[in-house]
Amino acid sequence: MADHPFSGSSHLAGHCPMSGLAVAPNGCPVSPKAADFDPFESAYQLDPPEALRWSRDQEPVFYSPKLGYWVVSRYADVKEIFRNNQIFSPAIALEKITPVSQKAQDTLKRYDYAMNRTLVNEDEPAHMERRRALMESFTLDELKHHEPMLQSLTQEYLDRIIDNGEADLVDEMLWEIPLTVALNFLGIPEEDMDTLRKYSIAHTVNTWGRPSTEEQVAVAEAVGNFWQYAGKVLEKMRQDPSGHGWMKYAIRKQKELPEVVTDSYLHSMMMAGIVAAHETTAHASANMFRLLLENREVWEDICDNPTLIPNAVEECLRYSGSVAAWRRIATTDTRIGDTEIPEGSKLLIISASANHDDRHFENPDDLDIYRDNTTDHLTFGYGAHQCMGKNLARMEMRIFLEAFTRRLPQLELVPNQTFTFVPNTSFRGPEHLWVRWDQGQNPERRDPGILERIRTFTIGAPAPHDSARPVRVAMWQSRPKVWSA
Amino acid sequence: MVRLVLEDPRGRKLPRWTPGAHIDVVAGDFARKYSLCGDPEDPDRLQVSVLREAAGRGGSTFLHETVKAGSLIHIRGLKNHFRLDETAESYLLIAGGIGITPIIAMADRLKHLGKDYTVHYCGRARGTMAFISRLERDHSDRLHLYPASEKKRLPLSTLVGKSNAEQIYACGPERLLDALEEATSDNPEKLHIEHFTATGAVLDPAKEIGFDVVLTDSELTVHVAPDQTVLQALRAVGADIPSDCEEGICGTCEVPVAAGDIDHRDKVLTASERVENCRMMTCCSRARGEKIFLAI
Repeated sequence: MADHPFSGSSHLAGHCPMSGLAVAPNGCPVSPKAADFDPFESAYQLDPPEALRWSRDQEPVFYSPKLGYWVVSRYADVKEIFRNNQIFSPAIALEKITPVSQKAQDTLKRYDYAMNRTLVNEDEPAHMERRRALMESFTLDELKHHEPMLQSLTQEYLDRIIDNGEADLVDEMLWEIPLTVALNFLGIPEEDMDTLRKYSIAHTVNTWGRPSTEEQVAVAEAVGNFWQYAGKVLEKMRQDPSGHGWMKYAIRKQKELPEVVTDSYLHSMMMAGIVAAHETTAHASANMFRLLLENREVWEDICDNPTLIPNAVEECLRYSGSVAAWRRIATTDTRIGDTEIPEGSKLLIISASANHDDRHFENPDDLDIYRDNTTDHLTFGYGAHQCMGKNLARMEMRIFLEAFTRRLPQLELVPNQTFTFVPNTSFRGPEHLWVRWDQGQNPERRDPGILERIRTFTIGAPAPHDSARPVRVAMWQSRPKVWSA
Repeated sequence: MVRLVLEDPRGRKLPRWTPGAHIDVVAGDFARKYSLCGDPEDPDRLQVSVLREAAGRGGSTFLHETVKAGSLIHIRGLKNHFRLDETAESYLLIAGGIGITPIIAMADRLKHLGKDYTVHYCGRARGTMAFISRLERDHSDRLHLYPASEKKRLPLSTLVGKSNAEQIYACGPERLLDALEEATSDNPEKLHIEHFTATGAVLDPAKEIGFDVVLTDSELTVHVAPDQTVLQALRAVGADIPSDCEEGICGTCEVPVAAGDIDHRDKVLTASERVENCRMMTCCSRARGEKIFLAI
């Protein structure tokens, strides 16, 4: 089987006889469920892990004819694919999953759009050389500098809505703050932030969505504008690259390592960096608030005991992360589990499904903020390409959750709202999240001191003692009675 | 020995568990690992049995003397590093002393599934061996007892040699498990064991050396100082390595080894796994030389 030639249906693998069904590129028939799988339909959009449950149990690696991708759903397989970036190259991570019309391509061309390799989709050895050259800004000590900015942004946005009694958390806060943080993190000048804000959303639809032919042109216009404007801002930053900010650091690093940090690289990185830091965190935060407010007891536990926040954030990232799936391409004939994968196969690896795999997590469908291996989740990916900004994202989400549980513990979801999602394979979060509260109950009206009692957390993954679960001893029995029961 | 039954202080359901699962009981500065026994179908309660160990780190003393009905304590987990593979047809279950706790849960499960299994249970004397009457009640036709006081010895090599069991699960003291590893060295994949004691080594910087750990997946090199564990050094550079007991018995902080000579100090890996040299426990194991390579 190892030397199975993968040259089409005339060379069938011995264990997968033909049965009149569609045939996958490895010669095996496509099962009816695999044939039906469509990540742009509501089952996957609403609940990716549930939509893949059958796959985890019956067919953990399957070919999706609708998508033209192999889909991988179990924890061990997804992690192994992330781990092995030689056999499973990230080169297609930013490829447009829906083929683009000629008209849209022409539009992008007019803007000299040249989004090239970024850290996300680059192969070795170039990738790691760049990643290491640019890593400094993500160390725990460097991230610490952003904490006060995050605290004050959160306070400011919360101040605006605190007496309203109702809000769309996405529109009024969770979409805005991560974008501002992203722009600050990159070191973008204040005066350019608003324009970049406008353009950044188009990139997601352009890359991971299914825009109609007409939409494609409009999206291409926005992406083209984004590209050009990013270039202008980059030029401006070159004038004075001193101070904090990842782009500024990269510009300084370019002087040292011009062949590692190239011009085209900086331009692509600027655009990709905004998206990477913005939408992922915005969606993850919205998913977190929705999930915790749907599980009232858990929310109340956190209000009572804020030390639970780091692990609760992590459990939300596991249970309902903002990055549901990612992509790789096989650079050689290989196999995943028992499935033969021909060279050139495109893979959609569903981290959201892996995170609910009961082969790795006990009771994976329970939201359990006391879970002590929740940090194993694959929402940040794994290995050489693991999300560089993971600790920035954690810090943001913890600060949001800390502020809300302290200042608005009575917060609740507006009942009967329908959650909608921008249809795409990878980034997942509700477009709106309506919450309400009785502003008369705001704790700060009784005790303004609450505003000052901000709890901070050590940056990085949660510590083991963060997840201790309180229990009461219901029965304490010394021997010998014990032996009988 | 005491039996502790735990419930949620707010009357909520506790996590469901499967045979082989354990929790860590936290009290003050220590956390001790106890296998769950009792009824997995009971969503409201978790049950552990705790043996009093004079030489222990105070965990068992705390649970025997300080804790009483109504006490509020903390646990971590649950987790299962001793998971029962339910796909086999026949099983040999072996327990020494308090190692019976996960084994009895497995026996219950196998009975429920209608599988072929036998339970072999050794201890000092009937009076000190937990759960005998319960085992006699529920597993009498499958049960073999070996109380040393009755001059009954567990005939390990004969047992393993004659048995056709596809899988062997064992929990008990070190020498029992060592002997089992020896007896199954032809088929090490059949054997699944869980240790419940550790030697409790503490890092002595005067006796340790520093070394480099090269992370091959992340392409980073991290220095581990003599007063640091590999786990601590990896966490300092932002690697997410889960951990649990941090004393080499639970297996949570395992990482894959790509190359290098490892000084294994854990109680998790089997002898054959150490020879394979493809994994290590970062909380306690170290490098023998100047450099090791980890596939993370």
